Amino acid sequence: MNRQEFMKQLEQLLSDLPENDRQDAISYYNDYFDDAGAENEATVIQKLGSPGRVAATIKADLQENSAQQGEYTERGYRDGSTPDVSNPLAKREAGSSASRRKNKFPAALIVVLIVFASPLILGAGGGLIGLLMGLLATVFCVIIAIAAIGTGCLIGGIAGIVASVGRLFFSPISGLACMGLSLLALAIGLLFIALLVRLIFVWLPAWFRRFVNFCGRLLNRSKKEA
Amino acid sequence: MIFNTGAALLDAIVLAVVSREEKGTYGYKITQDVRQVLDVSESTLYPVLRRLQKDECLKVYDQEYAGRNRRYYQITEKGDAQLRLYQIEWRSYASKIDRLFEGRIQ
Repeated sequence: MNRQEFMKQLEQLLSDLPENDRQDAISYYNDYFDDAGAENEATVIQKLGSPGRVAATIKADLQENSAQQGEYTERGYRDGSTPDVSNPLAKREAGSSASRRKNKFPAALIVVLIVFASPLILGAGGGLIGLLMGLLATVFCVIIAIAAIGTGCLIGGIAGIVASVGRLFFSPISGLACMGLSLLALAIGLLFIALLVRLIFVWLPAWFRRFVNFCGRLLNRSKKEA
Repeated sequence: MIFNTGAALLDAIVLAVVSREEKGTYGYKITQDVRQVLDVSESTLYPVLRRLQKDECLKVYDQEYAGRNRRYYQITEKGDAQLRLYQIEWRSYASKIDRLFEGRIQ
């Protein structure tokens, strides 16, 4: 089917419409073909579907003031089940002002409640925040301490080993004792560094996750109760 | 798109598309612009444009283009007000659905 045939069929299908409605639709679709360009003619016809469908869409809309209005789906106009919304402006205005009035009261109430309860909330909240800060500071200090012990022992151990190598020539006994102690210090240092790595990369994330889960459960529970 | 588009939303989208062109725009271009965001059939928009015109949300004028008359659609003051209303309603609707999907409504 080409454009001429399409338009001719459409015109015939619309012949029962008032003259100006028909002319309007015909000139719209003539415009449409013109603007799409001759090279897109086949695509336009394919996308419009049949003249029958186009005509049905036009007619369905002209009958909108009868009982029901259809719905536009991705497959085009569908007549039927939706309620009449021919005056959405008036309906929406009425609806939204009513719902606004309904919402205002609880919002104001919540503000008043928060203001009156603020000493309590601030006290409890402040305490909680303090507790949390304290915990965080403790964890931080422990990390610093472990890091300090670890690096101290490590550096001391290495320095001791270097020093005791020189000593070995003068007094082998004290040199060996010195080296043994230094090696011990080195081992302790390595142990603490390993502990530190484990703490930062394994234990802390796990604790943090557990804490977040706990808070989440707490929140959920209070939401369900409310 | 698996969600159907109701008449009001389609009106709002068409008004938004037309309002972007100060001097007005024409049926084919409106259809292509709408089809960029919504998979509507090409025959869907004629009745919508006609209805918006009847409700005085759009006005039309004919202007010569390439040796023929082309019909242009332009938004009216009433159409502009209607579009703003649709936008407010849409934001409230979309944010409610979002809150529900994200589990913030119990």
